[in-house]
Amino acid sequence: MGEILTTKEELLNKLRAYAETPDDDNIKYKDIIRKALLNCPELLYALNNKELESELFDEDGNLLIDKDTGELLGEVDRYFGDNSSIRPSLFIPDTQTTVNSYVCYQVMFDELPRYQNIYKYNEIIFNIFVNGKDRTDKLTGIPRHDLIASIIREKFNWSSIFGMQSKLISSKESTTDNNYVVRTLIFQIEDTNGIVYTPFDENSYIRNNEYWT
Amino acid sequence: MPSLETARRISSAKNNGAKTIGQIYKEQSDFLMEETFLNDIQTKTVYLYDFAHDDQPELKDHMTYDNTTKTRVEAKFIVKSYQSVDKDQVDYYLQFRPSQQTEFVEGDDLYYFETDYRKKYGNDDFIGLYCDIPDDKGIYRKWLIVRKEIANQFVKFLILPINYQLMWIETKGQERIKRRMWSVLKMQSSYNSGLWTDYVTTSQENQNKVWLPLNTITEKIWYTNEQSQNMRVLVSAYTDNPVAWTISKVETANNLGIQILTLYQDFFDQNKDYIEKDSDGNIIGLWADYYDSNIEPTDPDTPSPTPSTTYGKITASTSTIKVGGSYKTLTLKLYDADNNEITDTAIADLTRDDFVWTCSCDGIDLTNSDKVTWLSGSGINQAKIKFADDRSYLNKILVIKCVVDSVETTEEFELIGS
Repeated sequence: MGEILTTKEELLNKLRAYAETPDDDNIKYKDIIRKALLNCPELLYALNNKELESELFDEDGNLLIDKDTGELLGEVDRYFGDNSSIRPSLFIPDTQTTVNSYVCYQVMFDELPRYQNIYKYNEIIFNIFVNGKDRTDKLTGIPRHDLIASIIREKFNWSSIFGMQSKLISSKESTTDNNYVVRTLIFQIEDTNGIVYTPFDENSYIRNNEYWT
Repeated sequence: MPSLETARRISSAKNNGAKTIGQIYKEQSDFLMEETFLNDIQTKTVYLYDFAHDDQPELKDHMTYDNTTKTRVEAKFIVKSYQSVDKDQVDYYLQFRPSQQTEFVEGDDLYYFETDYRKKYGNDDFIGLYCDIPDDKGIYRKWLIVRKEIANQFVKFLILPINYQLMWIETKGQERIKRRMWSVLKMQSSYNSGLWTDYVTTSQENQNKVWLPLNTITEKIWYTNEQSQNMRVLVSAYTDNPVAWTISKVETANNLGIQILTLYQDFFDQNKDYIEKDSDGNIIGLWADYYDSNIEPTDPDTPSPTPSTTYGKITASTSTIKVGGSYKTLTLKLYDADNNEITDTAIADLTRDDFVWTCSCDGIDLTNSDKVTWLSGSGINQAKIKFADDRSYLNKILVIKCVVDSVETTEEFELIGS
C-alpha cells in the first residue's frame, strides 16, 4: 500500500525530496547543471552581463574565487533563475529591452534503445541565444554563441557528472527572427529508464519487475 | 488707417520692443484681454502643481486650499469640442492671462518646474503639471496639462481630466515601494472580440492606454522591472474581478513631459496580485505583483522608526537570498538623526571585529548553524552570507542583524529557490 501523507509539511517534504533522490532525471539533472554552471566563471564571463561583472572580478581584475575550493565568492546566483541569463527551461517571456544573452537548458527523452526498455536515451539540450548586437566577444575575438557552446562542451562532453557518461550528439546553429544568433547543443546519455524508486523517507531500490498499482 | 493715438505710439515706441503695427495691435489685444480677463464665465481660479507639491494626493476632486502648496493662477477653461459616447476622452483648452509668467527664476513658486521638468525632461511651458479647475458647481477637479498649442497670441494648453490613480510596485534594489500617480485613461483600439484561442486554450486580448506626467517616480515605469520581469498593473474599476495588464509600450518622447503607456491585457495572478480593501471591505487599491515576494511592499512615505540618533540600514542587491545559491553581499550603512549618511566617518576608527552579524529564521538563531556560511566582505562594514541548499526554508524570512557601536540594525530577506 502506498504512503499516506497527513500534513502539508509532509507533502512538501516529499516533493522537495524529488530534487535529491535519483528517481526523476529531469529535476535531478537540472540541479546538477545549475550547480556545475554556478562555479563556471568562464561561462558567466562569456554571457557578458555588464551589470553582474563586478560579481566575478574585483577592481584589480582578480577573480572573486576561493582558491582552495574553486567556489566563486560573488553573487553569481543572480545569473540563474526564471528571469536571468541562465534558465532551466526554454521560456523567455519577458520583453527584451537591452542586449542580453541566454542559456536555456532542457532535459527530455522520447526514445528507448531497441529491446532494452530499462534504458532510455536521455537528452540534455542547451539553447544558447546571443543578441546579434553582441555576437562577437571583443576580448577573445570568438563569436559569442560558439564561445559559450565550447565552454559548455568542455564541461559536459564525455563527462560522468550525471552518473552515466554524456556525449555530444548535435551542435547546430540557427537564428531566431532578426535578433538572436543561436546554437543548440544536445548531449545524450544512455540512462536507466526511471527504474529507481525512493519511497518517502526510505532508501532507494530498483523497481521495474514487481507488480504494483 | 491707424488712429492718431496709435500713430503716436508707433513714433514713440522705445521700451516695449514693438516695431510694427501688427505688434502694436497685439499689445492692445493683450491689454484688453488682461483687463477683461475676469469678465468671462470661462475664467476661473486654478491651481498648478506637480505630484511633489500635491498637499491632498489622495483626492482627484473636492480639493480645498487652506495652506496649500499649489500655485494659484487665473485661467480660462475653454470647451473646444464635445464628447460623445463612442469617442475617446476629448481635450479642452486652458488659457492663461497674457501676463502669466511661463518661465521661472529662483524664488518663484514654480521654479521647481524649471529645475525638475524643463531642464530634466525638456518639458515645454507647464506640460506635465496638474491643474485643479473648478467645475460649473465650483467643485475643484484634477486635470493634466498635456500639450501647448503654439499661436501668435493667446497661447492655449490642451488639458485632459484626471480619471484614474495608477498603482504599481516599484522595485529598487532590496526595496519594494507602493507607488501611486494620478493619470488619464485613454482608449487604444483593439479591433478584436476580446478573446484569443490557440490550439488548446483561450485567453483574453485587449489593449488600453494611460497618460501620466513624466517625473522622478513615473520615469521608473518600464517594460520590465529590476528583476527583468514584465511590469504589470491592474487597471479597472474597483471590483473583485480587476483587469490585469502588461506594459507593452512606453513613450516619453512623443510629447515631452508626458509618459504614455500602452497596456496589453494579461492574466490576473491570484497568487501575486492584490485587491486591497479597507476594514469595511471596500476596495481601496489594486496592486499587480504585490505578493511577488513575501516581504510586503511599503508606502514611500513610511519612515523607519523616527531617528533621534544614529541609525543603520543593511543594504544588498535584492531583498532575496537563494537557498543553495552563492554568497550575498551585505553592507551596513549608518545615518545620523537628519538622515545624512555618515558611514565613512562613523567607521573610520572601527575594525571588522566591531561589526557583529547574526541571522535568524522563525525566531531560531542560525548564525552558527550549518545552514549559513559567512565570509568577510571587502569593506569592514560588509559581510557575505550563503544559505545551504535546504528547501524546507523556502519562502521563509531570514532576519539579518548587525550590531556596531550599540547601533542595532535588522533587515529581512526572503529565502527563495534557485
